[in-house]
Amino acid sequence: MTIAIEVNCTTGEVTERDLTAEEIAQREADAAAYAARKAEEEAAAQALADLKASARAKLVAGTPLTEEEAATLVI
Amino acid sequence: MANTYTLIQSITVGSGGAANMTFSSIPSTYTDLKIVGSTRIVGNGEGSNPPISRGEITFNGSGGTYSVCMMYGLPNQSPTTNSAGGSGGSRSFYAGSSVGNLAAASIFSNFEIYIPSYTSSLAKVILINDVTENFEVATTEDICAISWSGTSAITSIKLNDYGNSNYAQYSTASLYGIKNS
Repeated sequence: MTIAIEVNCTTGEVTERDLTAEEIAQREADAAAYAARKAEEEAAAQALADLKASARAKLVAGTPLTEEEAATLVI
Repeated sequence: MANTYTLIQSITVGSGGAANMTFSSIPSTYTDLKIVGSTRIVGNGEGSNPPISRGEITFNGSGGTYSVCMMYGLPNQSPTTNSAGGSGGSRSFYAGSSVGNLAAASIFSNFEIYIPSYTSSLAKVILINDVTENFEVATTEDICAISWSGTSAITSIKLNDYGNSNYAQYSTASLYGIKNS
């Protein structure tokens, strides 16, 4: 069973209790949201890396860059 | 500093692990709060490079909006900036992170969370920084600023892993109160 630890800073009492059903459900929902967010961030990072690679290749080849590619190179 | 820097309470996770650590009924007798923590999770988190898992912080049980600006970086790489925020499951931040299960055994993160003027009737600004590492491989340094819209005094602080892994045994967090006089 998963527990939560709480310390009352006024009395010093430490409580260790099992998570409630509601807390478990929230935890599962949060974990799913985290996985989705992480996937989005990884996809965005990969897209940016791809765009930079394309811009770099075009620069070397002397071919025109798209606006989006140029934006990855100019600060 | 020593006379005004007081340990309020400390939590250390036992052998069964813990989903979260909460400081409740925080007295309003201090000027600022500071949490010093060292954590590891029972889960893989973001993977092995770096072996990191984002933290999450909740004030006063629920409510309010969290705006997050963070900067983090690996050795020999330019720092990366990111922002996150909102409410619910979007309060993630790299600073205050835990070391994940893919790091070598016995390695824990180190972090500090500073909360100035926690009894203010205005929105709160929180500063966080941390280091995670794996025997000097895949070390990360993360800094983070959070603005929380809550306008009541902070009376409870909950820490948990953003991916909802359990904190491993010996993870610890200590809450200090700091007075300005």
